[in-house]
Amino acid sequence: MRGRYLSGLFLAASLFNASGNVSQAAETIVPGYQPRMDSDEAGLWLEADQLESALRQSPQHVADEALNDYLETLVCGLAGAQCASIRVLAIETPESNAFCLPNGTMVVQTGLLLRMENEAQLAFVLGHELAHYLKRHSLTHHEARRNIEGSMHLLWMLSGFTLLPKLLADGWLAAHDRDQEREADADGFNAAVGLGYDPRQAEIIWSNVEQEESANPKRSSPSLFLADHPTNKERLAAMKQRAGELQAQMQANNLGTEAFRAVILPLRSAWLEQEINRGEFSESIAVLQRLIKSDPGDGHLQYYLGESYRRRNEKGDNDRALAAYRAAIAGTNAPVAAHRSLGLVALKSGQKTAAREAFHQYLALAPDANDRPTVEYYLKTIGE
Amino acid sequence: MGIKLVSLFLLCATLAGCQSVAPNGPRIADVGHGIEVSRQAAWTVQEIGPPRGKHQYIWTVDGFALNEMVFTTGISRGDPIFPDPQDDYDLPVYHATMLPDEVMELVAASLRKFGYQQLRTDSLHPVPFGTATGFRFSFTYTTDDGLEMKGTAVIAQRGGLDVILFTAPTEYYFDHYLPMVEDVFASIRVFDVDVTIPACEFANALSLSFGCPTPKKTSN
Repeated sequence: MRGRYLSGLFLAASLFNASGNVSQAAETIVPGYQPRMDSDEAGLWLEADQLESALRQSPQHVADEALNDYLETLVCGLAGAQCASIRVLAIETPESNAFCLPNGTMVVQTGLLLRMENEAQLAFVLGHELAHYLKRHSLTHHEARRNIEGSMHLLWMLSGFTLLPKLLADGWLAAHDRDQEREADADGFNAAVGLGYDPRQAEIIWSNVEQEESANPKRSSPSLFLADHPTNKERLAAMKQRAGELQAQMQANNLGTEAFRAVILPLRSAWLEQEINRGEFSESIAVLQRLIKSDPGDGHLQYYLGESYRRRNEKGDNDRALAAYRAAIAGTNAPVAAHRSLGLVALKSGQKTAAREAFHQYLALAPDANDRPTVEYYLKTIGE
Repeated sequence: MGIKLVSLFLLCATLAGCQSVAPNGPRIADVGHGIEVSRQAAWTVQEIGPPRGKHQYIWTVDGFALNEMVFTTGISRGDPIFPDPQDDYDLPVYHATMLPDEVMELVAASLRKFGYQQLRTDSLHPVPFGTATGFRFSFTYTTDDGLEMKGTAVIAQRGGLDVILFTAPTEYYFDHYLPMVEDVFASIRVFDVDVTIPACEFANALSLSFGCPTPKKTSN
């Protein structure tokens, strides 16, 4: 049995190497490219066309004209000669992500836009996704998977029907995908810096991701063997080194902060609501604390920080929530709901006077609130 | 792409056992935790569970997912609203100190874990819950495929949490069956309750003075 394992492993190495040859980089897409109708790639494009169509009709498709124009212009700049091949779709969903479909549809999720601090950071992320499209990574991934699965079936029989070949195949495919991610990191970085964006912003993105994920004790990372992305730490280090090299060579320091904020801030409140509705309150707190550093007087940010503490409800969170609601009310544009939430937490903390004042203030500011009977009910429970 | 509806019945039936209850059974239905409601003959009933000793009843007229009324009653402290014995959905759990606003958020958070998209709650207000007081709210959401749905729910905290909710597509079904749902809500009767004074569950937990009797110890 031992001998069979060893020969299986040897054969696995041979076959994986062979299939690696098949999955070597496809040619970069040229303007106006269309796959041959009888090719695997045409099948991938057809699936992408169907997904694009579904997303366009989805209620989550963001119809905001200013946002769409802004994203189109940014992506067009990054794509250069390929601009005409790319369509951008903003999708309202709190997960932080963007991806480019094989047919050139760039999908940008609002959870990502919420987390970006300026245009430069967004350009690095979208440049990365664009590189996946331009280098046709979905095609090479598809071919690699098909070949490795064919090899795995034979190895599975030779190994005595154990899981070992599948584990090796998954690990090999993950390594293949990590290489694609590294290539997209490098290409996206170069595209953004080529447009004059501050190279240090790429490093800040990964630092922020690392900070947010480490705030959540429940979040687990896949093993290094099976992870299909390089680790955040690896990407952070690579971006830092590359930024250092470039800083010495050129004067790329554009942040694009004003243009970015002019488009994003009017939409941010709705995205904040969705962010805390993910139910990952420790991550939301990390995001909000970071955003508050740039906008300490923003009543919306402080309100949602308070909501995150209130709903996480860990030891000490009531006091933190109360402080955040009070900061929101003292700030600008605090939602009226900050008074109601302050009342709820004060009520739960036994601070009846504070609760009473907050509820009265809420009803004074929102006399027609549709939850008025409930607030009056709370007032009744504390003796009115 | 075919329309895929999220059905609590299908989710719950996957997670626990289920059995049919004769649709032509008694017009007064026991839905657990000392609660009885009137049931018109049009409702078909499925009993789900029991998850951790509790029963769920799901009613429908046209088919689960097209319109369904879910009764999940007597939820203990530390338990989720819906059965999840393997923690597949990482559902949030009920605490006795929750205010009605927080129970509404708990219901919404649980439904989001089941894949309800863009769920928004509205209009929380106190309502009679038999001789006790409950709270009612409405909500909207979309399915994975973008179908717009509406819901309405009644919650009550009386020595354990009771949740009764109805969901249906916004187009046609919800408004069509709302009068039947209102009949059910209006028919709620509670027996054998530990606490019948309004809001005593959270009032006792928060030591608020509301004339609440000292709660009996339960097996919860």
